[in-house]
Amino acid sequence: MNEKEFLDAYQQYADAIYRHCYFRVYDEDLAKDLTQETFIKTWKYIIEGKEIKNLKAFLYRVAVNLIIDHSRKKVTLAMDDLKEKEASMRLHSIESTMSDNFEIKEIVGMLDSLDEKYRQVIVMRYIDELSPPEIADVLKISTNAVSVKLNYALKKLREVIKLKYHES
Amino acid sequence: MNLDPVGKFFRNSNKVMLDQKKKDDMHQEVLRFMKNNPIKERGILMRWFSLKAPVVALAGMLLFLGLGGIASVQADSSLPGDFLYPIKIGFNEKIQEVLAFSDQAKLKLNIDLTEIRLKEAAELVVKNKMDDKLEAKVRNNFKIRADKASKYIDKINKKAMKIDELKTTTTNFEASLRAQSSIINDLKKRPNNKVTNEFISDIKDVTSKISERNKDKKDSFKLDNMLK
Repeated sequence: MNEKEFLDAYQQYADAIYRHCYFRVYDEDLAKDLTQETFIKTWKYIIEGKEIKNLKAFLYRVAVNLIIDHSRKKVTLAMDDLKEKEASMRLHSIESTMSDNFEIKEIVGMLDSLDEKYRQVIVMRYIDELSPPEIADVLKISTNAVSVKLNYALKKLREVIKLKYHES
Repeated sequence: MNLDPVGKFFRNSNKVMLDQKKKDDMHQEVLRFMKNNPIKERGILMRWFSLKAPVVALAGMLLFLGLGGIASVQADSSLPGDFLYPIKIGFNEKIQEVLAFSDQAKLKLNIDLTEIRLKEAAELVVKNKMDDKLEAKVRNNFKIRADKASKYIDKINKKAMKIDELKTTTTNFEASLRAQSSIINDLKKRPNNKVTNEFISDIKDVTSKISERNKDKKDSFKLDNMLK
């Protein structure tokens, strides 16, 4: 891969990677930093002379790992705090760093009701619009494992949506 | 895709995207990182040999046959003022121009060569080889390639072919010029540098022209999208 191909890939995938990061960390500035870091780390990999067979999957994989690293750093600091707060208060603190768009806040609210491992596959399937084989390639798990996680996540999500709209 | 209620629920998520300024700023940062951490250069001639076109392969064989072929390969890494530099400019690059068949290929070639002119200038300064005579040659060669690149941008634009691809190419070109200009500007601050303000001005002029063309294309691209 040469510079031009990489920069073309930037133009093609920057928004998608940003969107993925945003719906995982709910923070515009942090999502931007993670996106930039994703491309920089990918370039570092390229200049080491290593081959990338599927750049799209590679970019998502790097982004996913950066998000995991970030949440690990955060969890030790925030763990005590989060235990004290109700889920709605936690969501409120997240909302202060989010877009003002109501529909986006609704989506974030739904995603936040899921465990991280299920949120990840839901974001990849319904926001990033990756197919189950593509998700499997990114996460380095089998397509079957992706399908199982997706089914479980969808079941939980439908319960939350049903409850929310039934209440409203 | 996404006809079920869950899919419909998430359909508005595509509203989340980078605004153009943030995207451009990030592009600059990534480009700066790439310039400071380049891929080990293989030389334009070796890059061409990696293409599969039979004509390129034949041209490669002809180049390697005879003593002239060996000199030509060595010329590829030469700098202005070196003995083999005229072969690089007058022969190697001319061959590449002949072998670039489409306007898009000619544009990409001239963009590459414009960037190489700037890298040569930076290398001359770093090696303390730049003088007034060489700077005049470098400026002239840079302007020749930059003008050719601009000419092909206008030509492709007029034909209204592959506008998306052109937009990407010119955006990257503009970003690259800004990054190179920044590097040369930093080198200018070195003591005993031989880079003149006129050279920096030349680079800024070319960058502005490309930026203007880019702006026109962004506006017409937005308009095209609105009309869809």
